[in-house]
Amino acid sequence: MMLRALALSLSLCSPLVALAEASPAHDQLQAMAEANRSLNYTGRFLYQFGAEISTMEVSHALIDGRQYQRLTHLDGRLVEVIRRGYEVLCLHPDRSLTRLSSKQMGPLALGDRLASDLPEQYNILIDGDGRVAGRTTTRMRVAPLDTHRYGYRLWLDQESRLLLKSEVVDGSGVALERVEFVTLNLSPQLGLDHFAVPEARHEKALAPVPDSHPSLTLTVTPEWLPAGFRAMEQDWRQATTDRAPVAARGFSDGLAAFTVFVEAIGENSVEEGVSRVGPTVAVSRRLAAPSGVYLVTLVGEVPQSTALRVIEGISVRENQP
Amino acid sequence: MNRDLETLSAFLDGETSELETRRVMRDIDNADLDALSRWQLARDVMHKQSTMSVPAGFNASLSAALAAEQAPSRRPAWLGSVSRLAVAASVAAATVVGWQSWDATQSSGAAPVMASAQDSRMSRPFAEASLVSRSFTANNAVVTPAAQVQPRGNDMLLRHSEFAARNSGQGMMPFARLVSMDARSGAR
Repeated sequence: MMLRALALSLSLCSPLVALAEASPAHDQLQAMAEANRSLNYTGRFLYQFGAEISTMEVSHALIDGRQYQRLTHLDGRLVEVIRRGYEVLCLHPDRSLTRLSSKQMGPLALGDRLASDLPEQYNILIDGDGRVAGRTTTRMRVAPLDTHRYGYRLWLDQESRLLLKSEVVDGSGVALERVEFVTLNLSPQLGLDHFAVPEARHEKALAPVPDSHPSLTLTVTPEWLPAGFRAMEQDWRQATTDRAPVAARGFSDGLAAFTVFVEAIGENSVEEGVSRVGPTVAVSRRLAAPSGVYLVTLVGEVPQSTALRVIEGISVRENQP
Repeated sequence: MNRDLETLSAFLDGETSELETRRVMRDIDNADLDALSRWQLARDVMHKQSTMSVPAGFNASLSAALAAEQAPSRRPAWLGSVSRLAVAASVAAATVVGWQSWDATQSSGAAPVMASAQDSRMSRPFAEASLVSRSFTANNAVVTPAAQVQPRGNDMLLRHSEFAARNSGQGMMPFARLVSMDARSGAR
């Protein structure tokens, strides 16, 4: 595997050659997804969009078959995101904590999906060697074949296949976001205590809504999706019982993902609009349906035009009993 | 001409660092623009791309765009204050993109430069990219501030990140975005 990758990257050095079908480039991406999921590592990296730069620390471990991960914002305000198996915690700058636990992660988490079928809407190329965090990397380009999604430039560690540097690139070649490791340790000693729940001043959970809730009879359906995107299961949650539950339905093409949120609103004033941060776009829009008025919000890493087109076609239907 | 041609050439090839890029943008003068325009033409001919030269009025329209950006604009606050973007960076983005799709927007003036930032054609798919952000656009947006919206925006980001982490094959990337946004939204 190593040798083959090495030979390839040598032979591909200057002219880019598109590789077809179950290509070595494809194998590299699968290996990346697997490495990201299964390896134990710690490191520090830069996260950059526009003129904004953050420094962060990450540690990741697979313990008893479950993924544990901790990301810490090192400069400015302290923010941490901790993943403990089926639970994700976010410690906010005001020391409050939000918990999100999934009932079940569904039949497959998608490292497997990426391995089986990265959609044909991307062209994947191996683009020579590079160096990141003092380590030799393989450079890859993942180019979209339509304008409904972004492209990626990826630098994979040749030894471990971990993703060490990544750029999200829009249709005009502008990088919207960059992540770049500066240090990496592939043999850290990480125990469960490393991923302990931090002390918080205030805690709230985004809890699943009880089955009896009337909202659950509503289904969120898109009339249009970009080719290759598939819908995942719909999920209703509420932060506190006095607030209306919010439905979320995720969509992914294997690399890009967006989530559509729907919540019932009364005649309350709500904000509609579009905002963008790096590659993330958020669009909200009011939707009047026979069963009531809703606020539909799409959050995801897709071009604004895609987001707007998807949200135009979102409908909310009452299920037949 | 206020800088060595090497930097300018690197800038044209997208090989300048972010800092250099912004410096070039800041100091660019008409002599530089002439040089850039000639090189771009030469390069396009070499690569058999349809030619598009930088119009002579570009400098003026860039200044106009910068001036327009100075005016405070209303931005929806519902996603936290995360949509705040640096003025220089957004103008730089408009400029870079403006050049790439200049042939589509021949008329001079700031408006086409800004408008082209929304253009999603694959005009320069994977040249070395300069890292710049876009000023977001809020066309047709009806902005009605509400007190309780920010926590909701954060909850959505968390739920989206959790979903994306499981489904995008990119490991920690979605959480890195979440951490960065959360740190910034708390700062204001």
